[in-house]
Amino acid sequence: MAQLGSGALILALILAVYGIGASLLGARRRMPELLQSAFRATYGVALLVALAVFALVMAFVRHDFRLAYVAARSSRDMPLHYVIAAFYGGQEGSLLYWAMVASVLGALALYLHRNSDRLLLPYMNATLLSILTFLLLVLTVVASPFRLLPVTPPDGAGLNPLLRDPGMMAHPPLLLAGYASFSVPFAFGMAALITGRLGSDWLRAIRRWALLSWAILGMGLLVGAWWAYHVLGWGGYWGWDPVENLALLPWLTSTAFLHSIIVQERRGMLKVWNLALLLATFALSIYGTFIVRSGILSSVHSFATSDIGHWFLVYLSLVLVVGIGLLVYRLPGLQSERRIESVTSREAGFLFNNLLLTGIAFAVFWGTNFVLFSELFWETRISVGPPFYNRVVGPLLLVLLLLMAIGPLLSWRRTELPILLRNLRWPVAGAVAVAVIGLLFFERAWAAFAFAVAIAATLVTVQEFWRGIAARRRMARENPLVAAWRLVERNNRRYGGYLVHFAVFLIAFGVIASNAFQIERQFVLRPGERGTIGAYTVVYRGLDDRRTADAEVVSAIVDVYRGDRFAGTVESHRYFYRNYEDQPTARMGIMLVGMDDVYVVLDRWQDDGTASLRVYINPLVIWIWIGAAVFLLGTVTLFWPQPVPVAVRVPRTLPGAAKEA
Amino acid sequence: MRRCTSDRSERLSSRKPLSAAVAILAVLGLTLLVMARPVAAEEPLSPEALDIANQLNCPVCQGQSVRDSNSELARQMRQLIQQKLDRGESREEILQYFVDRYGVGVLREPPRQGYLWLLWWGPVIGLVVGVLVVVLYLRRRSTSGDESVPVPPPDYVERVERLLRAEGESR
Repeated sequence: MAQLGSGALILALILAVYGIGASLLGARRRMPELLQSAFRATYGVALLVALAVFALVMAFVRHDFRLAYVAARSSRDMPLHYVIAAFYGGQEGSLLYWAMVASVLGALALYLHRNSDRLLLPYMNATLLSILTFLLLVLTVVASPFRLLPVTPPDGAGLNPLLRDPGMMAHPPLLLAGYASFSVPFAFGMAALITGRLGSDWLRAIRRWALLSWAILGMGLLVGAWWAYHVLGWGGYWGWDPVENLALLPWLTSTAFLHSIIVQERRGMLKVWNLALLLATFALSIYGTFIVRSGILSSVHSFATSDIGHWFLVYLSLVLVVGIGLLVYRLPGLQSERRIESVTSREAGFLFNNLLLTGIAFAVFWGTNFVLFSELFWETRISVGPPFYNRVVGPLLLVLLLLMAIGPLLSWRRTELPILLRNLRWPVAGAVAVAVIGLLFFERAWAAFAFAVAIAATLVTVQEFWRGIAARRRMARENPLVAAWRLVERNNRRYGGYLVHFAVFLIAFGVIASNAFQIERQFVLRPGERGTIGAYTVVYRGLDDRRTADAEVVSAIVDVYRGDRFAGTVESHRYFYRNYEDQPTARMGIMLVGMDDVYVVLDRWQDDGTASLRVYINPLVIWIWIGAAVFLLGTVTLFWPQPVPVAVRVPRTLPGAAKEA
Repeated sequence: MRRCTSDRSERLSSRKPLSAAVAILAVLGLTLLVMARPVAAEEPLSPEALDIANQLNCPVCQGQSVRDSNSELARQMRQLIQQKLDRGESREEILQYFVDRYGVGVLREPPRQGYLWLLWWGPVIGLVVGVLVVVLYLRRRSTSGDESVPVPPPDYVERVERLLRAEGESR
């Protein structure tokens, strides 16, 4: 298996280098056969990388501990799904997975676009293969997952306990796939720059690919938040951890990109900017991939460090130099076709959206990397955490929400102010009502204000749906449900986007509420004793001690009452995995009561059963997970295939014009 | 049943990396010196103590606060904060105590002083530059006028409208 895997990788590397040469030469000399062979080389690379992945997964499944990578990350007593997941649990495997996603998606893109974008494809192919060449070089030279141990150990060390969680099945593969899949739109963008075909062909070609990467990365982030929430035990879902931040960056820039390409499609503006965003997104993906591995930034994700950092740094600078160089070279061809006519136009709205999203991305980038500057230039270790980001990014997010309340109401070119104000009537009324109620009843004024903005944005979006449905009912005499379905089906890009906005609002409500109204109490309880927190009473029933195949599990059993009414029993676990007894992990006891999460952390305990418990009441966190589901729904809507517009044959001369002509 | 992690004497040397163990031992010794009695195994924390703990980084873990961390060192730091509060020390004194020992990196919110102003002002400067670029872009667009949309000659418009009317009537 080891020979098969490393052999496949070496072959793939050779094939990739050949493919680059064949693509470029074939495009230069106009040799279709050579181009064909270059495309086949890419299919071959995808197959070979997939074969290497298969070999590695099989090595894990068969507990082939001759492989250093397998021995360090799995053991015989681990359940099968973690054994398989362990394949991307370390650096070599996750890079291999990255290469697989990039090559398979790249090959798929080549196949799907083989007839439509012929002039772009050779350069797209060459760019894609150059990315793969780099990865395959790293995978064969410095970070081979197929390295053999001199002595075969009887059993492996097992997966890092932090990774033994259901989240492991979804979060890393989604996040890595999100990073890797940005290779495809990036390759198309570079092809557009190289060929100078900077019209809207390449944009049309990549919108879906960019959307796919963006959706995968977004889901990866949300699953990561869920994982952190039920494992890390600080009652939160987003800790502004450096690695989380770095994964957020390409998501932010690609969100900006998805909005600003609409402007280019409709109005032929922002061409340079779109390419710059695409370049930034890809560069940030590379940066995010490697910094997790470099151990440069201290993070809860530091379980797979190594010294391949400088490889990535060199590659990253290469990407930036080539990308920016091409962009500057093509500047004259990237002039806007039209100009922005008014500040209250939809294109200006998208401009502000981009300003805010990149502003947030810059703030996060600055904060995350300032730690490095500080150590480099001032030799002081500092930490930049939630207080900084909450203070700096929080207000920007609020302004972004505010823009989401206005943006959908702006029309292209110019919006008549009276119409805008009339459309804002009800949302503003709703927001004012919420703000007044909030100021009366909440202790925190900022929460009232934030809720008001979120309500306004939600109402604007609801109104958009309402008006669309009402128009269809009038025109086509459809019942409301049919009208709603047809509306979304026919205008999937617009209303799919609004669905994603709804997801953002749901998440915003959850984030605001859980930040403003979280309650925390610490209790030291003997079995049978109780503690009160907010409207809830927790009764500690005692400890339970179990053994599973690979771990010892200590659980605190806690009854939860709301007022006097029994709400249920919740268990908060501690896991001590074999070989990792010094790194106990946890799974929190979380119970949804109404819209509050009762969140129980087992801190420590004594032999007589006395336990120290931390209990949080987290209101509306469930809305965040509902928001994740709506996000998925919205992205599926955005992908919904549109019927190909029927070609209408236009008569040469218009009726009635014949005589004059 | 597995003993809980607070049972410090037997676990320290074998379980943590050396540096962490040294740090813990140092704090342990320090704590003992300061209080001249062993840390009470369990002591509920006041909201103020939790709040102060939330402003400090756990020095031996990755990116978690003293309040949220499960590590032994964080637990002792929490207890130490509580005891210092009980003795009437102010929040600033307690924070300063930890900064003196662990450096400024122990603070979760970097102080606004010296070169750290760069950290705080960086995003603001970035945003201002962004706003300037957008404003310049909009102005350049609006001053250089509307020539981007060519105005069709009047007879052409008339003809198009006539055709459109004819189209409408023929339906």
